[in-house]
Amino acid sequence: MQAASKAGQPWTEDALADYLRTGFSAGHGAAAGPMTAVTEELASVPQADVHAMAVYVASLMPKSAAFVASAPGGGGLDPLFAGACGGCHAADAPMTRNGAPSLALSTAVNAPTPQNVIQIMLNGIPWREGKPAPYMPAFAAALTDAQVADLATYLRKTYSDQTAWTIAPADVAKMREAL
Amino acid sequence: MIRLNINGHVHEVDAEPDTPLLYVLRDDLAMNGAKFGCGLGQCGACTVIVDGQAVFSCLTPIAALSDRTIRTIEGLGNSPVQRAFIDEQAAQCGYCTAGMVMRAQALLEHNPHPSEQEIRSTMAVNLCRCGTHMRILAAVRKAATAMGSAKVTKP
Repeated sequence: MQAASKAGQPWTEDALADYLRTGFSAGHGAAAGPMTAVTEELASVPQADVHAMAVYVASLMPKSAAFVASAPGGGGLDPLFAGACGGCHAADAPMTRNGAPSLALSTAVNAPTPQNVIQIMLNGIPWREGKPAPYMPAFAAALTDAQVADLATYLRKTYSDQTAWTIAPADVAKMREAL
Repeated sequence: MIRLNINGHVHEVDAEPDTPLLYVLRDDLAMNGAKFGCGLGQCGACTVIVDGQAVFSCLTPIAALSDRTIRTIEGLGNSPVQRAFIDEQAAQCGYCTAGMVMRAQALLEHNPHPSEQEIRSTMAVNLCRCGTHMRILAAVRKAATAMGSAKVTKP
């Protein structure tokens, strides 16, 4: 777990406890996919129990200094990013003003492989009927395989210090087939 | 200049590549069927069809659209979906209607016999603030029956 965590902000006991109970952490992002069921159930578990879990998990995490997210430098935004993502994810977008973290803190953008970034761009985070939960529209129909690959490469280069990703359109096509 | 193929016609558009398709449709090409609702892909009022699939035109930059086929409500002609929306009186204020019709059209072209669950999950991303969702669902079911039993001609 230590080696796998590429979180920009180190996880603390309190941040983990918040995340596990609410499905959201201001320094890391929102729970989605299979994690949604976990955080939904933990919301009704006694707080002390969730805190105990957080203490245990935090004890396995690396104790590193907080990484300061840098805003993308000059050269202007990629037009695909500006038009498709910027409305929510650009530096001054309403969603980031409301406390959602910068993509620089995203676990998916800092992960070893682009799998989660591509998956979330294709599928989004669906509405959860009747429940307050994060939402992101799906881009599978709007963007081609090559465009998804370009965007994911751009996100990695712009928002992460980790090794660049090399993504072929065929990699996206393969994930699209699994939809 | 970006060339956009919309409803079978090629339009040369002089706009920044990050401009959302919705703005180009409404402001440059006077196709005002698709509506601006939220600008965040959360309401579906801007829904159009690209390469046969429903997309939010507010979140689709024109840079993503060269060599692709765009269809808007203006190019639909006389679709059974529109007929069904009229017959079921599925519009109250009508602001969401063009987006609803386009999403239903894309669904029924791919799947002429959708289950109730398929209709509901497909239409879930388009919102109607008047609350006519039950009539909209009835219209989609009716259109499915009409299109499933007739030979559908795609433009």
